[in-house]
Amino acid sequence: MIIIYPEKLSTVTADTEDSSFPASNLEDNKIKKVWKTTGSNEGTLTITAASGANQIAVFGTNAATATVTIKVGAVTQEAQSFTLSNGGHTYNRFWCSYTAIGSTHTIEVQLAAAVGSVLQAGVVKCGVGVTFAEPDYGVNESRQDLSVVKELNNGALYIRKRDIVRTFSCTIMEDRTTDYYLFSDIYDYYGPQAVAFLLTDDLNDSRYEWAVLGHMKNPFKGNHEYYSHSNISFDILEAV
Amino acid sequence: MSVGILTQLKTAVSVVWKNTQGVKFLDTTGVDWYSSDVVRISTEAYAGDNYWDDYIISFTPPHYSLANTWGGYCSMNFGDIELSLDLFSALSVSGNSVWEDSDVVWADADVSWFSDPVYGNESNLWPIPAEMAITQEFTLTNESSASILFDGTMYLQSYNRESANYDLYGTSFEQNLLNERVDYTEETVPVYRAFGKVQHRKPLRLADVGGYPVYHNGHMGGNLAISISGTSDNGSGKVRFTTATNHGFSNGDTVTVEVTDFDSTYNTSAVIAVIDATTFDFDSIAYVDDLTGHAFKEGDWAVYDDGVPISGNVTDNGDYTFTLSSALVNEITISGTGEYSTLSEIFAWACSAALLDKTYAYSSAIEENPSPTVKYWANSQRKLIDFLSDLSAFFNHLFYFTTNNGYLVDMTKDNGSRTLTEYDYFASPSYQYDPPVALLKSEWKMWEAVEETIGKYVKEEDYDAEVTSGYPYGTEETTIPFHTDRSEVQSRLRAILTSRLKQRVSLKIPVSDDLPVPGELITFTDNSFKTQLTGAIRARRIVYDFEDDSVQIEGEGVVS
Repeated sequence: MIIIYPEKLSTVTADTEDSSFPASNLEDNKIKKVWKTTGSNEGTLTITAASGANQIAVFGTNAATATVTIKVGAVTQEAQSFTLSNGGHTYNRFWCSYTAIGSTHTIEVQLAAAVGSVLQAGVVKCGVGVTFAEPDYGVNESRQDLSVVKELNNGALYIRKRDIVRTFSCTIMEDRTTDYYLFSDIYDYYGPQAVAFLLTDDLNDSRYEWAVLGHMKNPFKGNHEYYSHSNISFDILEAV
Repeated sequence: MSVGILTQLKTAVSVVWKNTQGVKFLDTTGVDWYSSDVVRISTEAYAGDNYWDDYIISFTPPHYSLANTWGGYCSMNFGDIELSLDLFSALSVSGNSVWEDSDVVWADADVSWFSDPVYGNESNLWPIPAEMAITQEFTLTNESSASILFDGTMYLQSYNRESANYDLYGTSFEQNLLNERVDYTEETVPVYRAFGKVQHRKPLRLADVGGYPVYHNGHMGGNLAISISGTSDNGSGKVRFTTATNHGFSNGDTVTVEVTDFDSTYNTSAVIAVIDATTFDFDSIAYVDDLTGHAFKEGDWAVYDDGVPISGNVTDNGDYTFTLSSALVNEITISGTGEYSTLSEIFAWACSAALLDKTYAYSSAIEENPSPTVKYWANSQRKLIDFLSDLSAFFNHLFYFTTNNGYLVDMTKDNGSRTLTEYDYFASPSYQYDPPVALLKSEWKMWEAVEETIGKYVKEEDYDAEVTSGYPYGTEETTIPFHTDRSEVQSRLRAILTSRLKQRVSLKIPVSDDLPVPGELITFTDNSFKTQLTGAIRARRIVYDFEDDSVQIEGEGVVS
């Protein structure tokens, strides 16, 4: 499991942006506060990251493909491509891990949505990836449905569909002296604010399905059952 | 994706701004100063043409409510709005700002702008500003099709570390019914106004001019009555009238004559035969004796002294005032027709740019056809909107306003309609009756020129009309009449009583782009009883509860 902490994103610019939906919208934690192109289905984000960053994640995009190019100055360090679908499912997010760069660097993210659509994205997170143990088996995944449901006069249901977000409940076992307290530091830093999680990084679809920008609405629970290790249980509510 | 309430906030309304050199920039008429950073917020995050942040925590549902169950002003009311403090911390403005008026953009490059606290208002969003302009729009499709629900001002009520509460203030109609001017006693008083036909009402006396009394004619239309200088036999035994000046009548006109003898058969209205520019005949009225008086057509106005026609001694000044050209004898009265005589005409006048400033046009489809005539003399000051409310209620009409338009709706007609199946409204409508009215009555006075033992004078007489319901245990109520014909008043009271006694139904429908409006006919079937009920009501109270995803409609109607 990877958590981006601390964040290293300095600036985000785009080669095309609707003036009402500038690229700066990508820097907050609001997935629906999007960056949009001026009408094109393609666009390139240029992210300036501080030294030490090795993770970048994009949430809330309608892109079908993405190419991430890591550069120091004009020199390409690394490039990765993503197809935001897997096993017949499409995703509005992807997560890219790259070799850490020890200086300020730029990350070019070329995005392409379906022809005829207007490319957009909600949030970009970039920073240092803190690796924790994989969650124990039995990660609990559910949904929180924000839709409005009310009873009509004949018993039928009136439904106004709204966003449905994912929820996860995880437990990880960590070395207490290092990672347990690092996790504590991360929670103490963010609190209930949105954090970028890659819940598992060793599954085929982990770059899409297991990437979450979410809130730990309630503080994690630590369980010091072992001499040097502790269990950490936490719940994640996906950001809107 | 459904949308909801889109709300724009502006930090400055009618504000005086100063720069550091003390130069004031005044918000005068035609110049609209506002922050170029319009804040867009909503009940839920929405990216349309712009991004609308979900900073509205809650707000009182806007709602139409009718002044009386039988009609009147159906006003749109607003309560308060609770906003997230993120709105203020995220958009705090400091340093240079760009302010615009309607013509130019002012880039603040050289000076620091600030608002002078003496004049109120704030130049930024922190600390939380006391006052902001607010525009609320509603849409379920997209931003460009949003329609304005509310356009007004919000004033800070309270705030704490979690949220800020503002009271909302919509358009208020503070205009008075009557103009005011200085009278004969040098007091500033309301100027009386005639609506429709009135008889023998005391005009407002203004300051004398040239030693002669001057009066206001109560905004009566038409021409001043023509003086009759004498009568004669037309050669066929019928009466021929000679006027002091050209009468201006045409052959076949219906003319009313009033003479100094109140019992004379000449005091009547008849079709005339014009002889020449200063004479005309009543071919059906026999010549009796030679009398003086005045003559006028329907819609004209006349002046009396103790009930005696004296229009010949009056000069029409052409500005709704007249001057007596002879010494005042006793009580001056006037009769005639106000320049606005029907409910529709009066509403159109009230909607004019100088008053309520709404666009209005008579519609026979939703108003009584023809528009009912009014007979009312307004001689005490009150708010125009209250007068309109009582007036329209008497004639069983309601009226309401949107941002730009005014609508007058007959309570018995449909201002649009919709049919609901049980899939279209929420569970459990409520059915209720208001306590019954036993008796509804109106009382008014009329004035008539009479000659009695004490001489000629204008006599005041009391009139009343009443209708009963057949529910003797009910209440007795009175209503202001805006007519003086007993049969008309009785007819209007009957209509009001019918409205009062109808069953009332309240039901909720889901919010849709097609929001109901006052007067809309709602028909529905309710199968939640053992035996089906079918209802037909007209919307009188409408609560647009966007947080609850519902629109509550309440109104009177028939359930069978």
